[in-house]
Amino acid sequence: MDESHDRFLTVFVDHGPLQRNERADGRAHQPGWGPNAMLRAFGILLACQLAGETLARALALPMPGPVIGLVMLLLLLFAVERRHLVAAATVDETPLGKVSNGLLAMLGILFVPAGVGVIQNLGLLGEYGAALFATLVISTVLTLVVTVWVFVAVSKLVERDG
Amino acid sequence: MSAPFSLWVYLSTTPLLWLTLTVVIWILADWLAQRSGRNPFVNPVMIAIATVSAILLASGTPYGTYFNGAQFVHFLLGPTTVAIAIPLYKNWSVVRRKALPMVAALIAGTVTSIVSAIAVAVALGVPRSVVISLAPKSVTAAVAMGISENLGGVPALTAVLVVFTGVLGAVIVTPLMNAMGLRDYAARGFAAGLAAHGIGTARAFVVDPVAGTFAGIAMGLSAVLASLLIPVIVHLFFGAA
Repeated sequence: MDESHDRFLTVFVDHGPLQRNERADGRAHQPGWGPNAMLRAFGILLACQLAGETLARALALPMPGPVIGLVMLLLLLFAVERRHLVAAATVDETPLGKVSNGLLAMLGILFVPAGVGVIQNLGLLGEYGAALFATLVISTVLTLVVTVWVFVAVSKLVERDG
Repeated sequence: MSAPFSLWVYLSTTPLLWLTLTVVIWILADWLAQRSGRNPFVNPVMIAIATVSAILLASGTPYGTYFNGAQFVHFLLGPTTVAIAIPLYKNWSVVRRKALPMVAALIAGTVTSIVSAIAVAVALGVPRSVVISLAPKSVTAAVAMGISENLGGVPALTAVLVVFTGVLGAVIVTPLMNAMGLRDYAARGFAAGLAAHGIGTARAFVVDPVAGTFAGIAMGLSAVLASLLIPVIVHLFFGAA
């Protein structure tokens, strides 16, 4: 495996190749993933999203670009797993795992800018506010109940037959 | 012009002020939610949106000026959606076992979400363009806005209804599931992600990592299915556009 390829893949593994090859000069090396590991991990997320958006536009797919990017990253992880560089048990300890989980831990704030757009729609919301509120409450409760009920019912069927 | 006023005039037009405000208000809102023991009714997204909106209205700041700063936070929605691949990969063995229940729940839940929203809104006399803006309410924001625009809705209104649905779902899901006596966190998470997209997913990750993973899957899959189904269902309700 050539050096640059190796360095790219370190983003996926829980300890870098530097740890395997003890440095010849005897200096304590930085254990881990080498420089910019977190930035490279973020770069992978962006690259997957970009590839997803490109594919969605080029093929006029109904799927949103980031969702295609998610599937591409998942396939990439399975491909890397075949080379025994990443495993489900240790993925959280990799730079990619740390960056991803860090982003997911602050998922809530990402909806604030869009939500504040409410101040642009106060007129419409005032006019139909009560009807919209009633609709959202009824529809959301129905959706939650139907989804969870079907999920649990089919799970039981599958387990009984399996 | 007094010094503090000219300073305000300068700062209020920079992205820095509004970006900082978004981050600081979020940290305070999340701290409150944590202090409440993650009580579902103390939802940090709702608190942060209400607080920032009040500050903008009180200071007469247009949304466009605010968004110039806040867009840096908004932008992260994309890479964070991609990041769901990590918990998905980590929990793949659980996910694979639940493939059939997921597909069944996805179809039933997505159809329920769209049809119930349109039917109730039409029955309550909501006009067509607002109903169409409402139809993709359970779909993650960026996708929902695209669907709404294609069908003649108001994308900005859709964004607000999507976020509101998300908050509502995130608030309701825990007490509702507890009342139903459901302990299956895969099922609970899947319902949260399907009905309340990313905000439901954020809530699910707080409750349980497996719930969060299934919520993330539901969010992704329902975005795909809804973008295929909504044009058809809207057509059935309103006839040809």
